[in-house]
Amino acid sequence: MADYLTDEEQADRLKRWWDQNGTALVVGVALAVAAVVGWRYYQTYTTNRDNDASAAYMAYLEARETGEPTTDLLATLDSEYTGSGYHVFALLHRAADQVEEEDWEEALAYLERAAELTDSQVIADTARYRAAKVLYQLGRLDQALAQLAKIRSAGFRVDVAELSGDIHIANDDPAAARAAYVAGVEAAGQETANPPNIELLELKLSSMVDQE
Amino acid sequence: MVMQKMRAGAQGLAAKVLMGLVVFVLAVTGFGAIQLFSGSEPVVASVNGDDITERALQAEVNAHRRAYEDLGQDLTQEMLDSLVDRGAVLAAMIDQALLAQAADDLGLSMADEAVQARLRAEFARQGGFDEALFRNALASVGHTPTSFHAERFVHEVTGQLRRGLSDTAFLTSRELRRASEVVAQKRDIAWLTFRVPSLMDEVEVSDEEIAEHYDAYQENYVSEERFDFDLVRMPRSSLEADIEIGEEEVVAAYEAEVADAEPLRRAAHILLEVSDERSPEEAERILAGARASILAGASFGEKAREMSEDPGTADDGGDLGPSGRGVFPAAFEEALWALAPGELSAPVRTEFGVHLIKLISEEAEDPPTLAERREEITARLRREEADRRFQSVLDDFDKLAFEEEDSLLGLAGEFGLAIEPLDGATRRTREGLLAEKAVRDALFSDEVLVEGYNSSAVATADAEALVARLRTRHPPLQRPLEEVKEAVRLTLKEFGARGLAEQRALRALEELTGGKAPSDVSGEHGLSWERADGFRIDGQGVPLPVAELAFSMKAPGPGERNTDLARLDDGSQAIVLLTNVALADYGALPEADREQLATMFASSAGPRDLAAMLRTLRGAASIDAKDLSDPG
Repeated sequence: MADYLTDEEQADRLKRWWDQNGTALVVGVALAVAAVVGWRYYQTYTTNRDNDASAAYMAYLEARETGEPTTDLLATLDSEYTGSGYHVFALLHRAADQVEEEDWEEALAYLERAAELTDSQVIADTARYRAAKVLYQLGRLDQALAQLAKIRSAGFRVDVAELSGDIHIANDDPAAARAAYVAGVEAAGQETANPPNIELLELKLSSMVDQE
Repeated sequence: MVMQKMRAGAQGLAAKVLMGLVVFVLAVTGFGAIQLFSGSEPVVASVNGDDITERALQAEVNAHRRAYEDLGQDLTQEMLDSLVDRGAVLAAMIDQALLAQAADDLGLSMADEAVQARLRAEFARQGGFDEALFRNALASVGHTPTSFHAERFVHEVTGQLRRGLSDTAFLTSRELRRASEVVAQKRDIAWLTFRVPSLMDEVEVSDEEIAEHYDAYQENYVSEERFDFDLVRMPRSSLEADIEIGEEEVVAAYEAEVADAEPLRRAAHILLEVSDERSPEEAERILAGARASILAGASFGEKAREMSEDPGTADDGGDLGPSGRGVFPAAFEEALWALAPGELSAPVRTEFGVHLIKLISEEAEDPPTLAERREEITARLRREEADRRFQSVLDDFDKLAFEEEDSLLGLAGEFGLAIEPLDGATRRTREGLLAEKAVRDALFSDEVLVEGYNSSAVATADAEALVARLRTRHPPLQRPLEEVKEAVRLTLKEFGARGLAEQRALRALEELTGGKAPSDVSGEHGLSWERADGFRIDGQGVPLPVAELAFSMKAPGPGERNTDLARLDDGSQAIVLLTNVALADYGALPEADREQLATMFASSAGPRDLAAMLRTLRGAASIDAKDLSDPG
């Protein structure tokens, strides 16, 4: 029976098995080792990179706070960490600083760049919402509405509706404004947990005379 | 044959790749993966697969309770329970978990050393990092240094995310105008009130109705449960009489005081005031410029003479003279005491404006003489000794009250004190000793009321040591109908009057909508309309329910009016008439109003954007949370 093999036969089988499978085994193990090493290396690399971006951003915030020059730090974030979370935050800060200076065009440029560079839908939508505020300020009402129309994040529905309503009012279109405010109140009603504060929105709506 | 060999080879290859994968997973995740298969702690919520354990929730709830207790308020356990809602705490933890995941997706991170540096800064006391303080703080929240470090990392990166969104939010002037014209709008309103108190006279209540109500609601007509206590108390002042303070002790205390005395700090500053024309940031920028030029060699004194807006010191080069602590605003003091002689601070904001501070020198004061200090030191030592004695009396009270738990005789005898009565106390009594929460908690504890033991020792606000025990308990008694008849009659009259008010108000509302003139409606009931023209939402003089309703009603068209019904707190009903809505003209608002509105709306921009992000994250997440509204 095949169960009883001589040493020679066993050695022979082992050898044949090795001839058939040896290469695959060596390649498999080598691949696994390479994958583990590569993955670990990649993890360390990205973590270090994130930490460096974090440090650069914190240094920028610190300098901004104390009034020291920020140009170099911003240049580093712009060039080395383009599109990273920290770069986008820095863009949002610069936009807010420009708003403070009432340099609306510059603020708009930073916000549009932030929306374009980030991978995060919700951060991009935050930037678009703010860009719409700036366009509203500039009186470019159609462009403001177009920015709002691009927002996909569900959490912004109430805010988008309220701002659209305000823009329609500025555009002398009360019917559209009313529709937007009503949509905002309805959207707020669908938020079960932590519904947004819509006192002002409701007051805006109740201040409008019915046109029937 | 060839086929067979290939198939065998392929199977082998698949097995080997699988094997490789297992090795890979273990190597990458470490043996953490193995824990996936072992039983684990109870979980209250899972956020995209990240678990929040019962234990973590409880730790957070406890932290919230401690925060309230630290406020030093007079809070009972029940009040704490109602203040710290487990559901709300869990919701906040879920938000935090969502932010942590979002921060991770955005690649937000912080090097271990940076996290460590922040921990060290937080647990720093004079002379550097306080290891003991750090370990105590950790132990009290059930953390090890490693788990605390990990939590801090998450705290830091979620903080970056929160601030990255909320600190960058802004309000444009056009938004402010629009919000202001709506919030500061004026409404012309009138209201007609059907008052419960005046309608009560019209309601007749028979003796049968009173008896019927009394029978049905007997439990509402019982006397309160009363308690008679026995007390033993000892005033702290009786411990002070025979304290002798020796000369050596006074001298030793005096010498310690002199050794500890901190030198005065002679500071100079440059002050820039903040106004409408100059924001704090602007002032800081100017001072940062001045700082740079002083560091580059310019004279501080000359800069102060040139630009400081402190008229009292500018001419003296900003010199404020030598001062101790407690003289300057807190931020100024903190900055000044952080400086070494000759050093310059960064710009510091206080209520006076923005300062650039220089420490000129430290100057030791001539110490006061022993004779000057003797009286105060003696009084302090006497006070400290009395504190020690009082503490030891409290300990003895506690011990004796516990050892002989069913009588006060031993305790009273030991200290030569009388047993005093405190009779007729109820759970709602708030007079005398019972004005104090600590005393009430001790007297109305289970050990005293249920077990009948002595209370533990309490130090009262009047500095007495006190132990109490229950002598007699007077259970609540049913009060006879005769005694409460008038109270029942009033209740029923009020009830009837509410019905009447509602009935009449509804009819009057119908008549108004049907076109009847408001003056006819009021005249019919012998009532008159009250008016508030140009009423603002934050105005005074209109009952709150009327004002709230008036501002939720739709604006009427020209020459029209809208009507609705408001219910007042006492059950009275008010018909509200809205005749005009006028949006505010932002430019015409008083300056103070504009500033207030600007502050209010500007400060809500950040929280608003953050809330929108959290709603988005919640909506997109898979959250599986236990419903905590029912206990158990």
